[in-house]
Amino acid sequence: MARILYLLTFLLATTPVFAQHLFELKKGVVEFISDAPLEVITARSKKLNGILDLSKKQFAFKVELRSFDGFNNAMQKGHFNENYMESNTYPQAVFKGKIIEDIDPEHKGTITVRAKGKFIVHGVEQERIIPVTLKIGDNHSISVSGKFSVMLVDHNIKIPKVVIEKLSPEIWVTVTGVLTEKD
Amino acid sequence: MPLAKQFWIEEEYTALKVNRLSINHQSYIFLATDKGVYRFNGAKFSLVRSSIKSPVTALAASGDQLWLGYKNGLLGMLGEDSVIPFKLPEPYQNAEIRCLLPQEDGALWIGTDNGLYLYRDKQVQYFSTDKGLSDNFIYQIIRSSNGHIWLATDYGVNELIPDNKTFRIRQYRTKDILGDDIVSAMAQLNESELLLGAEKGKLARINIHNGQLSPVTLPAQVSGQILDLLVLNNKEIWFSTLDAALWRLDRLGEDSFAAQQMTSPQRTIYTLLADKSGNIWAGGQLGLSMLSNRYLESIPLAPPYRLSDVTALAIDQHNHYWIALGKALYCFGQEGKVQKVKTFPSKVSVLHYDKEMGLWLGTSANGVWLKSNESNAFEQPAVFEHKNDGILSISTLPGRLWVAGLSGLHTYKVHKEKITKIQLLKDQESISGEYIYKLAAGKPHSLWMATDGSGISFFKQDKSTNWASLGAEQENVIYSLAISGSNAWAAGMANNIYHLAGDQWQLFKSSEAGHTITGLNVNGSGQLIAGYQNCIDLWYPEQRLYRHISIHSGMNIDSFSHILNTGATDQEGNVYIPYNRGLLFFKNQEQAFDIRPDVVIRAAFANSEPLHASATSLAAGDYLLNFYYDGISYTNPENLHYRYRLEGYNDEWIYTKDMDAVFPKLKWGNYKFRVQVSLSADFSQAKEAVYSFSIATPLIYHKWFLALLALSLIGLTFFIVKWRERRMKRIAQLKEEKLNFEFEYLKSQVNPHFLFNSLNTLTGLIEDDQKSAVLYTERLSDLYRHSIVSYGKDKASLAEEIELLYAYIYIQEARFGKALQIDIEVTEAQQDKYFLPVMALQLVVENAIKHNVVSHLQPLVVKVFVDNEVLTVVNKINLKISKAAHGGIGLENIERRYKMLSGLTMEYGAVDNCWIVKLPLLK
Repeated sequence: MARILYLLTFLLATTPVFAQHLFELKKGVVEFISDAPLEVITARSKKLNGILDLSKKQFAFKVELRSFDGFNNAMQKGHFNENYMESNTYPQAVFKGKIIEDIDPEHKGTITVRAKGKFIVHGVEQERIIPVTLKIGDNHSISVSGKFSVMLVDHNIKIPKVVIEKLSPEIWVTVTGVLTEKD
Repeated sequence: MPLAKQFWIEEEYTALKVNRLSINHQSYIFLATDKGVYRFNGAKFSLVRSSIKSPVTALAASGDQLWLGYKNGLLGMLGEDSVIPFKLPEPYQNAEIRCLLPQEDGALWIGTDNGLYLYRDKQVQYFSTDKGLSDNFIYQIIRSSNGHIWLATDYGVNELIPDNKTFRIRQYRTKDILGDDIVSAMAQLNESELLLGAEKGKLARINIHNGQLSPVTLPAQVSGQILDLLVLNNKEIWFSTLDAALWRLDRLGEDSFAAQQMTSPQRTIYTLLADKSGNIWAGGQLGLSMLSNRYLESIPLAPPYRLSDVTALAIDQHNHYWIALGKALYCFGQEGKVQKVKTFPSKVSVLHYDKEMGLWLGTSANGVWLKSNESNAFEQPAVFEHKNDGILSISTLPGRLWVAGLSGLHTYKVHKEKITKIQLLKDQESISGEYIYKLAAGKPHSLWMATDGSGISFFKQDKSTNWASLGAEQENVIYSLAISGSNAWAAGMANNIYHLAGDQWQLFKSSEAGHTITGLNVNGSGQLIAGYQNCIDLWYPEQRLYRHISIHSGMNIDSFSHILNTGATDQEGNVYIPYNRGLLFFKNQEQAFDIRPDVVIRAAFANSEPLHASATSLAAGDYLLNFYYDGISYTNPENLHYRYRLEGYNDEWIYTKDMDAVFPKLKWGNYKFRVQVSLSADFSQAKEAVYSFSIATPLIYHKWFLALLALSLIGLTFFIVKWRERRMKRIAQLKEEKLNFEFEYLKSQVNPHFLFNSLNTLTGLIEDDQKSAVLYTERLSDLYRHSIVSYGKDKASLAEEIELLYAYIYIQEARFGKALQIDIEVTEAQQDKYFLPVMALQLVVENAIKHNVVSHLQPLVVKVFVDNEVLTVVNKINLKISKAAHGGIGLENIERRYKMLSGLTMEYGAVDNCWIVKLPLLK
């Protein structure tokens, strides 16, 4: 008995510092662009937050749709929230799932991993695999960046025929942020 | 390039994402979409009613059932007209269903994004990472030929080996060979291998017996997650990627494939399906599209190609396309290379490629030219005499060349570079007179000719045959011929197509209005391609059916050449036909496709009540039957011909294009509704659907009922007759008795004894008492009057009887005086109420007088009274010694009369020295 206890203590002492491997994102940036023949619309939110559990390789990210700014005019932002995203009913866009590849936080450098999980926007969930670039730096920080497209029809976001030339059916989204370790 | 036709499921140009495609045993295609499951028959999409409102993400057909899996984890089964939800017991938990695999024994495998379930014997087994799976996200489930279950997951491939009631799980990592552990697609490649597709866009094969992985090399351009794999056969595989690409792989060797990217009208294709008529279906983000690749492709050609300029076409052994645009000859190579070869002094009318010699070219005013295989230049060989001839057709066989021109038919022997003119036949001159539109050479050394005015001529060795006119219309102007092995087809000015059967040309297809023939070609697999000015029919001659390809086929085909015989074949027998975008490539088909349409009886109604299942029995009655049927064709769904008949009602076929049949009034019997469908008016190979039912016979028509009725009627008649007979007999008897009685009575009345006595008495009275004598005579006449009146009557009222009795008593008392005492105690009411057999009372009293002593010393006292509805006559018995003449009627007669008139019995007899006669009173 005593020997086992001794062994345990020894093991615990040598466990690496990153026991939990929980990383947090508080002020990530999400930017999207709609490139249509008659109009180009971009908007950005600086309020992307989320969490990444490195040991379990699981993540969850969310952003408030009302936090997007930068439309061509205020009316456009209003339309974005009321007509297209229906932000009253579906206030957030969420992406949660798992990371396929292994991530070694000790290994500094840039790696590309695949984030696979459910991407939910406008109340409709789609299984997505999004390639994401992780740059592991000092101070236990991981900067993340990714780019993917969202097909509006996949999430039941309807484009009225009158604005078909002004809204692209495929929206490109870029995500950047820095995850810091949560103690 | 495949030709693709886009189908819009709901509105035109409105996208509806198709997640999965499946084909069921009836040949319907089912589409699992975000809005539910649709049923497609080739022409129409029908949304199947469902109470589950969730995108359909999985479909699987097995036997005659179709299983549906939903994004919200619910499971359904296709019923007659709607989806029937199927509830699974615990431990099933709702998670997005990604794939389904039904087994023949009724078990069902369900792959979700949170584990694997097996539903078997009403119980659910759950497999997850806790139970040994490598991952819970299941992309595909396949059952291999050895009965093992294979799973494609986010973390490699899993193999489930049956072990008693459960399974042993073996995991296979795929990262090394496949480049990835996310196996996003899996399909059965052959008996011992499965094909795997990865998220990273790579393919590999896994051997099911040893689990060994082998890579499949693909060109670098292939990228994006593999979404679906379609293995057509061991040599051709299609797959789609998330990068909105569709690829076709053609096997070159054990491990190597040639990959070709297919363009598709859809962005991303999620599911691929092949039907038995040769079409490939792709379901994707926009909806459904159909690819004709297995039988028809398009070879787009860039300008200067223009359909209206095309005058001749030939394909060489390297599959370069030699196309004459007017006077100029171009060579279109692979990879879109165009090369202008030469401009000729007159229009190029004929191109013919000959493997041995090279490319033969005929012009409209400058004879024949040859470009041999070695050189690049065109020459006019010296042996051709008519340098300014207009050439109509050229044909070759190894060692032989035939040229048909305006100057006639010329035959040449060809050996290496030497061409020598020879004579075809001794009497060649006789047929050379006619222009020859088309020459076709068949092995060995036989030549067919389609002529302008002389029908078809055929030369073999030294013999010639001529069919001067074909068919009922006596066609003798034949524009085109196609020969393949032992089959020959011809078509001419009247636009009919003929087929050579034995040694006679039979009509194969009669002309249709607006279809003008331009040429016939046969490919290497025996399909006849009949080209017209505005369409092309791709014939499957054994099925006597064709695929109709026109500008309405929705495949971006706008027009065809109007010039005769511009179609050409390559060395393998594939056929090329020019069209507005380039060439239509009718390839040799890798297997026999069955383009026959199917028919399904969708609903049957009897008097507007729906009928279920086949072979129903209806109760007796009058019925109006409605049948609704659906034709399924992925070839020419707009041109379906139906015919039906109701066996048991009328055996004549009714031909229609409608999809319903009505029978207004049906009697009892057994019926079979049979409907057949075809793409033409020929139903010899048609598929059919049958519905049996019967209407019960109403009671009155059943044989046994009728027999019973007849029997009972006979019985009844018999009984009636007998009864009447009896009654008649009784009446007759009564009559007889009455007659008898009357006769006897009459006899007795005329009894001399009575008369003597009466007259004696009368005499005495006349002397003594005139008044009494008159009264006596009156009474006597009353008696006789009464008997006259009563003649014919059966019964008399008691009043009448007593009146008669009084008359009689008077007469007798006049004779006997006080020696006779008759007391009558009957009330008036009784007299009116009752009846007696006529003269019965008088008879009884007379009887008493007759048999008993009537004297002053021994007077006769007779009492008559009513006792309990019986008239009783009592007298003391004092019998006369001498028995008087017994010629009286007697009590027996009265007794008999009583029997006949009523059921009452008369009683008489001696009681205490009194004679009592009881006459029951009648009413």
